[in-house]
Amino acid sequence: MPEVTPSAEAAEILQVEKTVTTGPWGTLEYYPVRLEPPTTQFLQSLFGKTTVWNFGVLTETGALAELRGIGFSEEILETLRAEGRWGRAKSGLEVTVPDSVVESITPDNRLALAEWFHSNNYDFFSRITVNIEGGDFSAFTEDKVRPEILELVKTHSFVRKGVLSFMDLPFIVRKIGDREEERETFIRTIFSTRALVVRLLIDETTDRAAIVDYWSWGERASRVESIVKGVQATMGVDKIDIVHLLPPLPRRYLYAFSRISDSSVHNTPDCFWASVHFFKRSPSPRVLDSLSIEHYLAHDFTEVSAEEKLHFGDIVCLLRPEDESFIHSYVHIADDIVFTKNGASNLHPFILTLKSDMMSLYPHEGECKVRVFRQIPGR
Amino acid sequence: MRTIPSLLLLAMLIPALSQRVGAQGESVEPVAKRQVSIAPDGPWGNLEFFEVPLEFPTETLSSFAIPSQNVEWVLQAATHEEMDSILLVAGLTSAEISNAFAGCTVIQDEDIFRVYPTTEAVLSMPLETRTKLYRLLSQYSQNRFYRRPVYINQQNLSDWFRGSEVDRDSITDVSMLAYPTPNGQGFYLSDVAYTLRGATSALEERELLQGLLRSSGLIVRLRLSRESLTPGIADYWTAGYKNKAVMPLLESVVTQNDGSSIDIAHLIPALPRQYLNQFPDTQDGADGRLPDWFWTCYNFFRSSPRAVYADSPDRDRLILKEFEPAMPLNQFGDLLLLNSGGRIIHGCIYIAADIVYTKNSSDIYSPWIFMRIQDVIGYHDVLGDVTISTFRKRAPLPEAP
Repeated sequence: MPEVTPSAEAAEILQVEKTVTTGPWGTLEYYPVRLEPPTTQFLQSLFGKTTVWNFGVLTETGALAELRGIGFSEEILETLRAEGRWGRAKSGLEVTVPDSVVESITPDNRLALAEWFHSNNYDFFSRITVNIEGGDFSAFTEDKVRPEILELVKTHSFVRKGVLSFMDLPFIVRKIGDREEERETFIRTIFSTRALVVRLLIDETTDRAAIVDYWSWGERASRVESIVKGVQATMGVDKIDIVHLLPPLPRRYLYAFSRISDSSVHNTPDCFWASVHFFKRSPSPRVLDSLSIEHYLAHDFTEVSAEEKLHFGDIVCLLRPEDESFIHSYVHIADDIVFTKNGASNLHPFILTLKSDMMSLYPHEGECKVRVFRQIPGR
Repeated sequence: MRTIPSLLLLAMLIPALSQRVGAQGESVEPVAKRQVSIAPDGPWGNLEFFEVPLEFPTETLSSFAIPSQNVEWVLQAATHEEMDSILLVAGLTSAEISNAFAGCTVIQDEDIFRVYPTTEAVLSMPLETRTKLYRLLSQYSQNRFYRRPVYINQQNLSDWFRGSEVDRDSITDVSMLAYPTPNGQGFYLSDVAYTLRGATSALEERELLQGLLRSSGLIVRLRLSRESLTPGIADYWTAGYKNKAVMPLLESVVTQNDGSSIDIAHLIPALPRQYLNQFPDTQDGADGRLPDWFWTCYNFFRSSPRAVYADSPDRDRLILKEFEPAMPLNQFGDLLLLNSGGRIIHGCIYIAADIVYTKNSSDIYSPWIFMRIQDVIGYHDVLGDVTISTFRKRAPLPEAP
């Protein structure tokens, strides 16, 4: 288990200690890094300046009644009725929300609204809600975000089941105005992801056979052994980034973002895509088809008890206990370190992270049923 | 061409052995470790690197056609007179030909001569003769290890074989049979067949081949500090392609407090990172053939590889369409073409300092690696006339990873 559990509480704290963990994987040290999506990942919709709420099949009267029901004041509702522009789009009833409403609703209103969208219009909720990774504003340094903009982000953010969230992106884009570079920087900052750089410590006393055995599960041992030997034979080198120990496909995508070419007509790579491809050499378009997870796991994997000690490369699936519907999956790396892609958005990279950090993005699902699948070597 | 007298070569190769192994074979001092090297400073920042010898996957080696231990030279000639003429044109003197071919067995097979020299002829051949003869043999595809010799990138054989299971006698054989590359960068070993004579079992044979056919890749790290991290470094690694938001990653690294470093595997695009330090797999040949140098270079910045190869009819058109000639200083991602004998013999991608990303052969025994450009030249420059031309990726920009 980790000997040290440090954290960067604020951007100005630059000294971040590394964490060290020892086990059958050898001795690993890791430290956090922050990844920002490149501008090539941005869809134009991210820069929309119009705040819109979508109420699905409701009528205007019904929507206002729902807002009243979750605690919106009559004054706000009146403003929304008078100044909002109501209309029916393909995706449902929409209202464009004036700044006066965005600025006057309370944190409780905002949280209640998010909960309402989550329960009643999940697709819309997913589109407008940003989970600010790390649970703080440390990514919003002054060189990236002006203090007055940061203040607006703070006052318009809310904590939903432990997750720091934000759903007023168009409002901030309006406030930034026509400064294109500042807008891009803001988008990159708010969508930034915390990940880990992980390194295996190696010295002359390292049990090479044990290390190779652990890290070469499911593929060739010679590559891992060559790397470890090379480090042991070099003076002044006592660690190797585990990117060199990962199988080819996670190596390709690590800290990177999925691209249009990775997508199909209906789906883009998500957590399960990242998990099931872990030991593959190249991605299969079939994994983007909407089939049950059993279709992909039944033949090439064996299910092992969730109580069993996890192996490198094990796929862990989290399911809703009531109906075993799929919530999330990730790949076990070592100790509390996992390989994951949190969501299907092109703005979310493939990362190594701590399981505890990853799970902080899935708070609303409560207790999950866990199923673990182990790759059959050679499949 | 620069040649090194044979005694000097032996002196360079063997002392390392005597340091490691005593007269009776006992270990007399600890084996020295390899050193970390520091690359020259430049817009790429402060780089350090070290070599990792990559061994064949065992299953790949089992598919390797192990050569006979009998040294064989194949020459394309219809008559003895024509063969002699070819040898003379290659620069060998009559005396050198007589000595090299003394006591040899010759099998004439249609328009080729298969020559089996004596052990003495192979071992005692002067370096200059060996260099001239083997360069000639490299022109015939039947002479596998003359056409593509084992490349030894340093003088210290003990160091080169470190970590392998190759025994001392075999290393001594190699020290006697290795010869300098035409441009003086490293050594070639073509007489792999001869070294197999010492193997007493199939296992020893495989271990020897494992040791001989290893490819040394570089692990390269960028050292960073708050003082040294500049936007220029991020610009360098982004190469104008915006293939990754590098700066936040670099900034995160410098928050570490121990003289931070990041493996540059994280700074190259996704596709080359996937293949780095990998040998080809059968899956890589699912479409009918394995990736080669052109596939590697052409796809460096692409998110999905395109099936193009060095012998594709539209290779040169693609180069001119997607790249433009460039002058030094080289930039990250530049395509370096090695020209020899009036044709392109290889290409690799410039990374930084003197480090390139390369796949040196299209077969399954050649991994994708970082290598120093002088070693890439040494590896390929069988004729000693390699020149390099640089091409830079044109706009529009390729897809980012």
